[in-house]
Amino acid sequence: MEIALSIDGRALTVEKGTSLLQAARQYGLYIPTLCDYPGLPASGSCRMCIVEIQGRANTPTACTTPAENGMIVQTHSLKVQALRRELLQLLLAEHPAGCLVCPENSACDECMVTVRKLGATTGCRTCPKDQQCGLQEMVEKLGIEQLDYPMRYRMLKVKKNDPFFDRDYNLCIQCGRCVRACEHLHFTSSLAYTKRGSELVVGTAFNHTHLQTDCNFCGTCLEVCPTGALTEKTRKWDGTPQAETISTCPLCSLGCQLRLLSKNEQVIGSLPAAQPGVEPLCVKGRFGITELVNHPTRLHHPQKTVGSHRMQIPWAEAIRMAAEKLAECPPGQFEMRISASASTEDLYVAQKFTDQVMHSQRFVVPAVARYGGGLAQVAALLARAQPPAVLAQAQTLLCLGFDGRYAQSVIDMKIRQAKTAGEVRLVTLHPHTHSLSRNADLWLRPQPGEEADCIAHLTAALINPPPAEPQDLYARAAHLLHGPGPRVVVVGAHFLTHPANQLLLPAAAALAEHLHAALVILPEEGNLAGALLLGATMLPPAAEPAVRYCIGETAPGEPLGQTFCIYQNLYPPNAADPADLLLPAAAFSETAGSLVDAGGLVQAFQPAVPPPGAAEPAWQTLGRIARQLGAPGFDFASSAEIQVELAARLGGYELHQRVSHRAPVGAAQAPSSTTAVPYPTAHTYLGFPLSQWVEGLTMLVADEEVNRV
Amino acid sequence: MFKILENKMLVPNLHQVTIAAPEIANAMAPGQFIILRTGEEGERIPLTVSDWDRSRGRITLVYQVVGKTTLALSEMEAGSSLPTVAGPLGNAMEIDYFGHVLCVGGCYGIASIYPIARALKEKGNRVTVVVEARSAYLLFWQEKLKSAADQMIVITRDGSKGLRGHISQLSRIIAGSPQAVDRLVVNGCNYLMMRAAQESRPLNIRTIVSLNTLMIDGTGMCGVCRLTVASSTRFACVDGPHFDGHEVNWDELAQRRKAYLSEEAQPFRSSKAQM
Repeated sequence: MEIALSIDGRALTVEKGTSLLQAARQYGLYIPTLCDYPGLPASGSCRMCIVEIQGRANTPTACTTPAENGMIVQTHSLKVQALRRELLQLLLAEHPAGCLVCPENSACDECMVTVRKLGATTGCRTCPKDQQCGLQEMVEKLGIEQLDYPMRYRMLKVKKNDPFFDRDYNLCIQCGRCVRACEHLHFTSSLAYTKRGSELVVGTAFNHTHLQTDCNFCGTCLEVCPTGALTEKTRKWDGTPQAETISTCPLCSLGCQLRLLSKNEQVIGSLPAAQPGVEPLCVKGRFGITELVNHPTRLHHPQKTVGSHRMQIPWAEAIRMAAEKLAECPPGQFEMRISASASTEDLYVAQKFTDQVMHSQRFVVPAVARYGGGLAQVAALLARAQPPAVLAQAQTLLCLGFDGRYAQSVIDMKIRQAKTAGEVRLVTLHPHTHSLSRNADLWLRPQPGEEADCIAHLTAALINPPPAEPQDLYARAAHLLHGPGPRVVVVGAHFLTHPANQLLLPAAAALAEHLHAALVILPEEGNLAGALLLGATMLPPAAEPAVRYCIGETAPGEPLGQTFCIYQNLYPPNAADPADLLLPAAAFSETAGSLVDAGGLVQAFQPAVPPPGAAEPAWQTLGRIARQLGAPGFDFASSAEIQVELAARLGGYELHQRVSHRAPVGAAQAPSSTTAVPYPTAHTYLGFPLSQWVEGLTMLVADEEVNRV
Repeated sequence: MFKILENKMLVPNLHQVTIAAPEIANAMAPGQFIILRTGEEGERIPLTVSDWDRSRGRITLVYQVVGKTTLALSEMEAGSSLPTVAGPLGNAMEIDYFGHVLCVGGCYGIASIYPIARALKEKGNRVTVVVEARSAYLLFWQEKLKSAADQMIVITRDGSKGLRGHISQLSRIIAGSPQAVDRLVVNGCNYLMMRAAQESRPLNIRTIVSLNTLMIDGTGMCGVCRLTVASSTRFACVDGPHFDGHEVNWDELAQRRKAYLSEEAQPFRSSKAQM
């Protein structure tokens, strides 16, 4: 039903149930707001959107007042504007904002001679959110030139004992955006209002740290906060970004889209490409990237190892040295070790180099060792996998060995969102307490190591539903899973890397087939699908090669071994790891490239900043070495040229398209041994535990172990 | 070892620490500073001594938390000890009978101006103390300052107490003073001291500023604290820290202070930093 009303003299027609604020916005009319945020329910707490309605004595908030037929509304009358200014004055009386009205506030930045953002914020010029603040914007819009009330500073202790962000509730205006975002966008409710009246403060239950709550550090609360109350620890010093670049997170296989913020040729932040809550990020993509790519230990120039020292050398010398060693290397005595987080371009050129220049079969992606005897099954599942977006429509869900608390919290959020929106049935199978245990309608909990029995019982119950026995878990699970479609089966890292994955994964595939369910496969490595596509296989252990080229991986073995080790990465190897020649690599944020995500989609990186020093992508270095060796076919000028060649070889490889050639090139060969080879697990990136570079993650890892039941 | 007798937050970011240091207290004169370390391996930071008690052998410092070491100092509890406190360092403020002296303090300078005002008053000067802060809640030591002043004037940027504005109010204060101002002494951030000197230059009133520069040893050896005063190079530690504000090259001073800004932030650029 349509409603006709007038706002500021303009005749509007809107649907019944539309709020006055929505109605005004539909017609492009501006009403100031502070607590309103897209996707969050209206709360009416900031009272900036008050309006005057003819025939009513009060001035209600436009966000909470439904439009009614015949209403005559004034949004900027003298009375409303005067009240609005008064309300803003009252907000400012509890927000340290002396700088706003300081006659010399513009001179301050130039004269600021210390970092000044350590203690409590007492004014805009030392506030990490300066120039990005909702209150500053409102003060400007309403023309506040003086503060009418003395400042009431709340003297609350700044909370700094969580990783990734600090909370200074002395700056909080109690708009409640963070509280509502946590509840309605992330379905976590770690934050709430505590205490009452003038003592009211946003906080966690019992004043715990966020580590002790259900928080998974998605950072949505920081992004919606209009003030400097919530600030990212590593981003306090950088101010407003100069540029934004859309890119892809390489820290797991989900292929989440990032908005990289940059300033002065440095990445200063990473935010979800879309509006927060719509497609959020997990803790790694949201908070990990700046520390990872800006780490002070980054390699800037090539180095050679002389005795126990490392010496900086020019690129020309490094290329010459590598070419000399490679020219002497007998065929088959060369090994390429490359990370499953490397770009497809690096993987392809590395594979081509191994095959065509070095005539070696030893193209090693150590990460595949994690999958042991089940590698072929992982590849087969990946070939059938659907993008995680299918979760949004799902009505019936089965999660096998999936825990998204920190690493893949985006999936948790999608599942919780679906569950909140409608009658979604969720069955999980996991031996441990996991991120969805509280949300599941049924949690099948085998003893660790007995997952295969558990899935066999479940399959049996699904195929031959036993007579309804409310006590029988499997019967209940089968009943739930026979619920309405679309159905989705999610397979997480616990199943993918399980020692019995050779049994578990085909069983999972069979279950999905029986249920006509889409499969969502969630490995942890960013480009596992790309590596498998290029023929990464498990190779039986071989004798020490004469030359080993490591890209984003460290070399095994003793430093005194006879192998000449070329090492190319973002960081130097650990002191104990061998490396004779160190080459600096560009990070994903510094080069163009692509990866294949878990849904089979080719996702793109864009250079947001130039690489530090003389660093460059590995495919460029390999091209230079190949040319030095006189090998043809490596004259790639850009990642796009590599993609063209790759497309010809694979029968299609195009950015933002699903790879058409899904049958893995050579993954069918598995070694006889079925035990998984130890490989640094969870949160590994480019051969190192991610927490070595992103220090806050160490606090999460510790916490995860403590909480593991 | 120097025992911390008391360490407390006065107002947000400004802390007061009292240290047992009888020899330093005994030799102290207004305007002098000490250099301390919070740990055996720590950096050395210069801090002005804001008060001292010879009979009880203690000194009091008021400091702002701006970097790694001031933060570490703010977290030390009474009863713990500082490995080194060296001082008194620098020259004493020139204390004589000048007539009417305006003592201006902002930030930590609200405290460090106190012993100077007290000494000037003891010499028979008329002392007007002007304190400047962003807001009334950031003021402290007001009663103490009143005891050392004939008149107190407060400037707050938001107008929550006294005059509203910044140090640009200084020329108005001088013009409105019942007795002509013969000398200005300014303690605070470099911006406050620079602006005060700009205000007083056209009035031709001698203006003494107490500079804070980067400093390592404080004894004239390293040269890190050098600055240009009246076109010649001076060391803030042994030639100062008090200079004629009209002769200081302020632009150079600000540039030198900013030389290590990104390094100063480095310890805090960690997602694990609890600071």
